[in-house]
Amino acid sequence: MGSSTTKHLLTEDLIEDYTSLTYLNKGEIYYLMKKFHSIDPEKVNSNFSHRFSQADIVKKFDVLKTNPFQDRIFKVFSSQNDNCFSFEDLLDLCSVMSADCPSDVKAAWAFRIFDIDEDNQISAQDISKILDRLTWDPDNRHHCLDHHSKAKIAKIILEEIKLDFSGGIGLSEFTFILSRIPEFSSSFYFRL
Amino acid sequence: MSGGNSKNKSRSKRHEGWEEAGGEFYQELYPGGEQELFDNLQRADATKLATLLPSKQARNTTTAKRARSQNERRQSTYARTTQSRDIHLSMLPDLSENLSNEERTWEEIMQIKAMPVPMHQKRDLKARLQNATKLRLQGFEQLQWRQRKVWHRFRIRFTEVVGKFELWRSALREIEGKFGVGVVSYFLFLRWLFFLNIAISLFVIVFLILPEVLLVEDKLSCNETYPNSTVCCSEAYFNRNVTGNNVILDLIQGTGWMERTILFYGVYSDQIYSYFVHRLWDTEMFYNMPMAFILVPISWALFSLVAIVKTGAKGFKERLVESEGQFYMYCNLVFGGWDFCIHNEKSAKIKHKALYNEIKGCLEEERFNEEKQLRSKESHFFMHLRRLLVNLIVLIILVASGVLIYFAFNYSMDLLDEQISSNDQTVRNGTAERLTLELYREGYSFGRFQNIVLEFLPSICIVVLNIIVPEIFEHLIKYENYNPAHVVFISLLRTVLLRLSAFAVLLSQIYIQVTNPNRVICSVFSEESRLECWETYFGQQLYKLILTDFAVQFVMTFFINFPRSFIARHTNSSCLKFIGTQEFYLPRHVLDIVYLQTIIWMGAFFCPFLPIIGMLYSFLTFYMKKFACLVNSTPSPIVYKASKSKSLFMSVLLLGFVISIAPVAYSIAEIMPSVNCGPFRGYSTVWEYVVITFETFPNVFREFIFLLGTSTFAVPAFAVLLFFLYYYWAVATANRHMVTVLKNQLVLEGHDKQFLLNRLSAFIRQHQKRCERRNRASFADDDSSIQNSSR
Repeated sequence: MGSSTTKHLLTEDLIEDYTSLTYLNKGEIYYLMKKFHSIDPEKVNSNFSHRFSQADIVKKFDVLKTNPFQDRIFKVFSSQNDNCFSFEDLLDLCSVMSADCPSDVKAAWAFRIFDIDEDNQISAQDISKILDRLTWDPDNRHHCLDHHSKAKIAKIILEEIKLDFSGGIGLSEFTFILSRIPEFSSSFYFRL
Repeated sequence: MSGGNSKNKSRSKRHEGWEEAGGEFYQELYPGGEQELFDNLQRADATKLATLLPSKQARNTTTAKRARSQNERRQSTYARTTQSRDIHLSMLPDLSENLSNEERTWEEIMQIKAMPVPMHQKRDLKARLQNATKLRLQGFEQLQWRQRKVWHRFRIRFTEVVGKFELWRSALREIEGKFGVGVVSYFLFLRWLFFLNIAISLFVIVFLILPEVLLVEDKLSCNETYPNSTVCCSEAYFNRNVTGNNVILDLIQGTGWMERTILFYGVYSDQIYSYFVHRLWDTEMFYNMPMAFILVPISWALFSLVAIVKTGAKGFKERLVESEGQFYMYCNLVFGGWDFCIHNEKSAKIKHKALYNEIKGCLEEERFNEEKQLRSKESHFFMHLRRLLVNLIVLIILVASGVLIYFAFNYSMDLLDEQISSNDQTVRNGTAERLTLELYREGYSFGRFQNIVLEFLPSICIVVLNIIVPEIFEHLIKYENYNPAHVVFISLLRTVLLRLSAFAVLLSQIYIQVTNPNRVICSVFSEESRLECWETYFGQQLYKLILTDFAVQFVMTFFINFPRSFIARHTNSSCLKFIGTQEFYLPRHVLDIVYLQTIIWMGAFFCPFLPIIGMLYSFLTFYMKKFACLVNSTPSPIVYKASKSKSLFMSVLLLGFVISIAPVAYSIAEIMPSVNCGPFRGYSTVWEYVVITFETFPNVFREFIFLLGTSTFAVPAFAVLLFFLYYYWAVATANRHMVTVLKNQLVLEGHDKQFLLNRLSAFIRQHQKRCERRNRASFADDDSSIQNSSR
């Protein structure tokens, strides 16, 4: 029953569009639709592009729950900038996170996620904020890098990449770094 | 002169093209056009000017660039909307400049997905591209394009179907969610080995087992006049009564009836089979069994080597890119540190902690390096002393375990030999009454049990050592103050050495026995001896080893480690927790499966069924390791890097491959095969058979092969190879030089940019000031005029 209603929602044309515009295949899109639909079937049935709030989405997607960049992901991928996801936003997210997505496309999105203060460059502040998020531990407040070492790490990273002597890391510089870090594309993905 | 002119012209044309395109480019970037840009500049304060630079702009720039770089080959029509580097495009007639054909449009649509923009924009773009007027392709081009489209669609469909059947998909996802990418790469490696074993098994099944089973062997009978001929020997061997042991015991030892099955080398025929395929051809067809028996191992060995090198090279390339250094270390941690696939709260917590430790570790290592220079001579000396001591202990342990295996092997062999000779005596005492022997055996059940223990003693010894000693090494290495990356590598190296030394002892023992000049080679009249068909015997040893290994793994996982973890989970006492808690220590598990693969490679020549057993084993191992990983272990506080561990796996596997193939190759080339069994009866070495077969080839072919071996071919070939080597080396150096040059240039450009930005900001400031002054002046004017008018 559930799958038939979701099939009804996704017309052939739509599926065709989605498969050609994302790195997902048909099965994955149907799967996502089913999951998305199950959050609140009625709302989706009445309005296909219904926007669910962050909490609703996170409840269904465990991968996002524990992610230290959760708020950034919602900010970046929400097309209306309201921290809510429509089905298409969700598709965007999953497309980028799929294994087929080439590393430079991933890098372009990752740049926006890591650019926490949204000034179009990753500055020392951003790096220290990322470090905070990475090492954050609710049980142990002392488990936090001190200011000095964070600054040091930021300095090392920025010094090396600042080929053109401007404040932070720009998008193209960022893509360039990430293409040289093999770890990135394997960590910046999840299976559906 | 005129030539120069035209050149100039073309250059100027190019320039125009550039500028035109550049203008468009910036318009695309700043949708408001130049006016807005100027406003932006005016509003911007000087410090934020840098953020307006194109390289700092987020989306559109890169997408345009991406599309361009991908399309460059095909002279993309993106030139219509974005900057184009293709100069002649701007010189082409405008017809093709403004209209694209269907194929290009389709390509562009396929590339929309690479743009980092929300879905509705992508769909808009797609619709726009689809609705735009475009040229229809004609004739052949149309056909080609359609073909491409169909092929593309087929490929997508195909990958989707294959993806559905992906082995262990959900298991991998679960592991990924709990342990992150590093550990999953281990399981992917395991899966890869499973597929490798399937491939090897296919070779063996198709070319060895099926022919042996399906084709009928000619019966040759022993001629009484030559009692020592190969025919007689093998007849004696096959006609001898098989010792009547318990079926299950035979099954696990590979003796008795098992020895005479196609499981082992012994039964494979030394004949060239002839057969008819009636409906197709009425001519006689041949299947050269001995040749197949030698060619199949060579082909799967080459296949494995190519597979390892090919997979390893990918990792190696990644390693090369990632130059060691603080910068990459930190970049890895900061931008690639978090595994986005983790979906378990507890693991996320551990991951946070692990990352914290890793970063702390990196910082400390740096401090450590700084202190190293400052450290006093005394402490330096003590540290080295400690390391020396630990290495000495490690060496002693290795030697001791080697000696232990040696004694275990000799002890069990001696006792078994004694038993056989005593059996012989009983037989001789009453040759007529074989029944007594049966009775004797029945009554000797304890002895039989003892026999089994003795048979398995070397294998058990090796496996137990493999479990205990690495634990000791793990504790020892803590006293040596190595940095974390070295710890993994060194402990891995030591464990590999341990396993190899055990292997070496076993092999050397068997070798000594096989090459013993007093060995009974052809026992037509005497009773059986263990080493009658030594290849089968060797196969049995490895078969036993693999079974023991499996049993021990099974017991360790389910009956020892599982209760341990159970205790750890349900107790509060810290002591029990210490005993029970286990981490998924990657190097040890890697060694387990590499070891398995080594045994398979080594034994597959002597026991053709071994790859099939290995295939089943690696299939089960996946579940065993999954259980060990998900149920028994807690996530490890060590961060395993996916790319690094992949190349580590492959290098260890390559080592295992070389070590397992070398003795087999030696035995093929040097040791005399058994006279009474196997496909190579009566030849002095296995390789001799190949040489003899080669002699029967047509003369031209033989001459050709011989030519390959002579210096007339070798010297030029060597020279050509050297030349190529030199060429690639030169290209690599040139590229490296180019990289430095470009880097320097980039730095210079950076300086220039900085300079221009400073100038610009100074200018803007001046401009703003002037404006203010003018404004003030005009205000003043206004004021005065108002005052004037009011008067």
